[in-house]
Amino acid sequence: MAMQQRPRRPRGGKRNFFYKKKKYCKFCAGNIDVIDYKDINLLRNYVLEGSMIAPRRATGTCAKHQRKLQTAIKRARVMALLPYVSE
Amino acid sequence: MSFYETLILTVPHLTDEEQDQIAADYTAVIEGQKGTIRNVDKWGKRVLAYPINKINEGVYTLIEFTGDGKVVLELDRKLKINENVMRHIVVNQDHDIKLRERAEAKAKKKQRPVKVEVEAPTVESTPAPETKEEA
Ligand SMILES: [Zn+2]
Repeated sequence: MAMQQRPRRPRGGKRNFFYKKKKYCKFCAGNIDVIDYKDINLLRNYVLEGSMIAPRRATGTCAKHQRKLQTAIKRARVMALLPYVSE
Repeated sequence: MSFYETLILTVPHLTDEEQDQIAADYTAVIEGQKGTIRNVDKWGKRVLAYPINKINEGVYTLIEFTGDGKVVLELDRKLKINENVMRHIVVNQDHDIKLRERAEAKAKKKQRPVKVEVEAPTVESTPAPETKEEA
């Protein structure tokens, strides 16, 4: 019974503003276990405008992949592939 | 023996020959320590994400090699001495290669059962009409 009370998006008609699309880890879904520090285009998706590393709650990345993402971004920063601070 | 890769960031105001010479120097260092070069990738000139010593550009060279820990120690030491090298990093790839192989094996396993499932229902479908005739 509890399952049926989960908020669902009504098809057509009114928009439910409380509905949120469930976030998921894109690395788990894509079966990607290695995050390369040289893949800057991928890493850019996980960096906020102030060039901070995006938190898990913002991207939905799982703990395991967030850790790998973190080391990759930090390595890229050392090699001046990604900025430490945005201008 | 382990798999390694090193990314070297050098100063942009050198000639192409000098840049090639730097890459050749470090491949020689690796081979001098009984390492083997697998691949050398010259990315060329790139704009840096932030200026280093007021320099806005740099030349990247990626060298993939195999060797033991002594190669890395010697390579790291020589990279630190060189004034033309602004940044460098040496990364062990052993764990990543294992994970990549595992992911590939997983992808293959996923493909195989699909074929089995397709074959199975054809076998079951043949006795199905017989039961209907009995009824
Ligand atoms: Zn994940």
